[in-house]
Amino acid sequence: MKKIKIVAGVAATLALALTASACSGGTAAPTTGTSAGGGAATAGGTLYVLSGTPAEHWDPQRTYVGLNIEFGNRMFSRTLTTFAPVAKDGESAQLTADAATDTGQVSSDGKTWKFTIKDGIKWEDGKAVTCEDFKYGISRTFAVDVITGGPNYAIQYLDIPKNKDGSSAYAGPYKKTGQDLYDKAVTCDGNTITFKMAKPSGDFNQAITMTAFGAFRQDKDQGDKSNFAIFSDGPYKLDGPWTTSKGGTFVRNENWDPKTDTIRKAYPDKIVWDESLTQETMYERLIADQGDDKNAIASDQAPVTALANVAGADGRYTVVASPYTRYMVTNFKSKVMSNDKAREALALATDRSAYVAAAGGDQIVKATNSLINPALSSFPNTPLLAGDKGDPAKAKALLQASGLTLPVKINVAYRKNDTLDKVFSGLKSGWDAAGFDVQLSGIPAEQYYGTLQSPANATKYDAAWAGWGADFPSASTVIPQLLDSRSQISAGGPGQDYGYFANDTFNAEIDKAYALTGAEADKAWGQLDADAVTKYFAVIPLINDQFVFAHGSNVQGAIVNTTFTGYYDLATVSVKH
Amino acid sequence: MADSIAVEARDGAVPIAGRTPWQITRARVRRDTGTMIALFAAIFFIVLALAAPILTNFGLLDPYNSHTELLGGLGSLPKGAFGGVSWQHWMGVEPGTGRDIFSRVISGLTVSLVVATLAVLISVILGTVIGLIAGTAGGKVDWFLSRVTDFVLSFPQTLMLIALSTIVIDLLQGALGTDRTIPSMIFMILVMGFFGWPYFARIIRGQVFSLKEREFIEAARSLGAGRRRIYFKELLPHLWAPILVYTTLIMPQNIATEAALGFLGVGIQAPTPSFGSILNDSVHYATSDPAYFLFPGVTLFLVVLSFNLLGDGLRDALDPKADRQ
Repeated sequence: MKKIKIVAGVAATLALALTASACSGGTAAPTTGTSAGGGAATAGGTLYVLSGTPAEHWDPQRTYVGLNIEFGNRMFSRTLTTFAPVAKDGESAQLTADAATDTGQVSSDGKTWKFTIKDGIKWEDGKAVTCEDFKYGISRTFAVDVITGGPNYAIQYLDIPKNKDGSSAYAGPYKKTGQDLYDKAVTCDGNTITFKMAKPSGDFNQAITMTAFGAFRQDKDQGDKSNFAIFSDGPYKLDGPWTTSKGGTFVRNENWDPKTDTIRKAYPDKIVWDESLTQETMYERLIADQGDDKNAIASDQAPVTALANVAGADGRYTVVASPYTRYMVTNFKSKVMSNDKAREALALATDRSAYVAAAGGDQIVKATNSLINPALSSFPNTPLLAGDKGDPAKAKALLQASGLTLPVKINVAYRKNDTLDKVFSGLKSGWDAAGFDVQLSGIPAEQYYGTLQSPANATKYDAAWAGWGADFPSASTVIPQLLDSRSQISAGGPGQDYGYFANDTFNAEIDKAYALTGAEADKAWGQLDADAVTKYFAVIPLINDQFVFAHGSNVQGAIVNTTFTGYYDLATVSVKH
Repeated sequence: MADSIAVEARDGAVPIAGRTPWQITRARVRRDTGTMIALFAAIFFIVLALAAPILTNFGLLDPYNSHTELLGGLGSLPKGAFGGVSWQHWMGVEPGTGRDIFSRVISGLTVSLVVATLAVLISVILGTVIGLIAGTAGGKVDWFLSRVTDFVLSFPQTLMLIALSTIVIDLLQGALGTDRTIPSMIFMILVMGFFGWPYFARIIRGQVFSLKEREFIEAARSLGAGRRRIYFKELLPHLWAPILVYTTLIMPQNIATEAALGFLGVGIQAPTPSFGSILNDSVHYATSDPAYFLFPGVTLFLVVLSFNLLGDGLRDALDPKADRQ
């Protein structure tokens, strides 16, 4: 059901902050019931993708939610490189060439990257995918006021000067200010695309696995209106309209040449995307496995209510470590939270045990006090400030010393669903016991991050729930994305720095960490994480969890790719028919 | 003390005493066991609903605090039989949080009854006024009001509630600056009240038509009674019967509507408990924790049933033809 939301003056800065995973090393040991489906895969049939989280964007440059990146890339938006599908849930995935001929050539100083685009890749209207298409697509990220919501790695990596206020001197292909600067940083020579980096960047060819580095046809660009106007260069194209909270149907793109694509098997003839469901009903149907649901896979993970019943889907479900961390953000622009003691009090009074219980119990949920996921080598394992349950008494003493009048009224936002309703009921009790007066604002999923990132709401919420996973196996995709004010905060909104945290010392430390490698880098990123949590109280990490996914009995080849977003990898999925 | 005109007994005859309509009704209701049970049940639920906020204040009821130690296993289900029933938790505890279901159900009952009662009050007042005017004025005024009644009656109430909920509750919340509970309740009271009045208006109008032609109205008019006197002194006293009956019958309808909305996720928002949201959550645990569905479900059923039976019983008791064989 589409909700009509009237938000005045919204520049629609939408960034969905759940992205790719970083489970390098395969620490995710799946438990019983793992499924990949036996037998040879058959081409044809209709695959149903069930979703309880309506997509906020399908525009490749604006997609930042893990499941949308994964399914988008495998269906209609190819990138120069990608992480290949794996043979078993949780296995480490290889960085492989996708639209490019190889994983790129880097100069010895690490500042120039070259990729050659394969011949024969075609758009759904038959025209060839050219170097210019990739160049144009990547340039759209610079139009920060229109193309909102996506990762801004292009702005961070490419060698384009910045303005005094920190924004890029190139304002995107609509305004064209600084177009010559972009044209120098990204050049096309026939089918070869060359990128000039601002700093030595050995991991650039991992960053370009995100669809934000996908190609885009200039003549099809309608700006904001392109959000759901999918134009494909992959094996599937959108047939008919896309309706938010209902979904759409994807059919074969006849112009996709399987010989150019080593990644996608594209077995099903048709993919029906149904996002009219809740996670609860979706999993009830998958477990029941009736009718068309036999040909269905889950896009998002099982909710708590399904956990007790998922054993009934024997052989069709899997449990993997999720690459995400759930955390609270404190809003430095709010009157209450700009008070240092108030933030510390909130952190002290946070009852993580309520989250663990409401999210499924300690078998699959663990409290954490680090933003970085345990799967990354830079995980600092910061100890909890006051144990699992928090310390409301200590927090209350702090609040009383803060100069604010108790009870301190605060407005806490979270993404509304049944599980988080319960989670926040428990968290609220803990915070109220510390002298806060918490007003909970459950915001519908399809508007959640957009609401947090709208400049109009800059002072509306005192704290908000969020989730983040590394975009590729490096902490440089966690700390700077969430806490570096220079790359995140702009006139269009806070980016992923929802709390408007802006600290020069912190930013300087980030620069130092970028320059390091190996164990030293790990230590530096870990320290930044610990500082953000225990020194500045900019974030309050809550939990790490495991994901449970399920599929119907006719589905084969559904394997979770924890390196590339942590959801089912559509590339190898087929339906028996 | 009611009037009674006693005729003296003669030669062992039984004295005849005239009774007022109220006395007749009371006697009839007293004789009808089913209705008496329904009456006591309804009174019991009302008392419970009124007591809930007080009990919560004194800590005897606790709908908000988690007891995660009472949960266990994958999915955080309540330990123990029947969803964690114990001496401290008469209806067990909620999966995922360990909150006391009995407290939540009773608090939800308060919300349900407050919303249903205030909504029906609005419907009664609006409906009676419009019905009275339409009935007495007749002619063009009646025609116009009847069309308005038809128009409002034809609106699908539930769909309107769902469609308008987000916008109106946001507006109210902005105006009041509180959390969403009070705005949601105001919203539902206003909408249910507004969509409920045509029902009463039609009944009142019908009654007024049949009363209008009676001699006592003519007599009052010929004596120079103004409209206000006719409304209040002549007509209204005859209307309390249908008003009472249909009020009692609309109550369960409103309770059910509020529960349906909560079930759909519209209306009263978490963490404030309401029947609808409790049932919505419990449905997903139908196989793993059926007690979580049964306790609130049966309670809601009993509440609605008791008001329905009470209304039916009152209608029978107030029917002047009821005693005739």
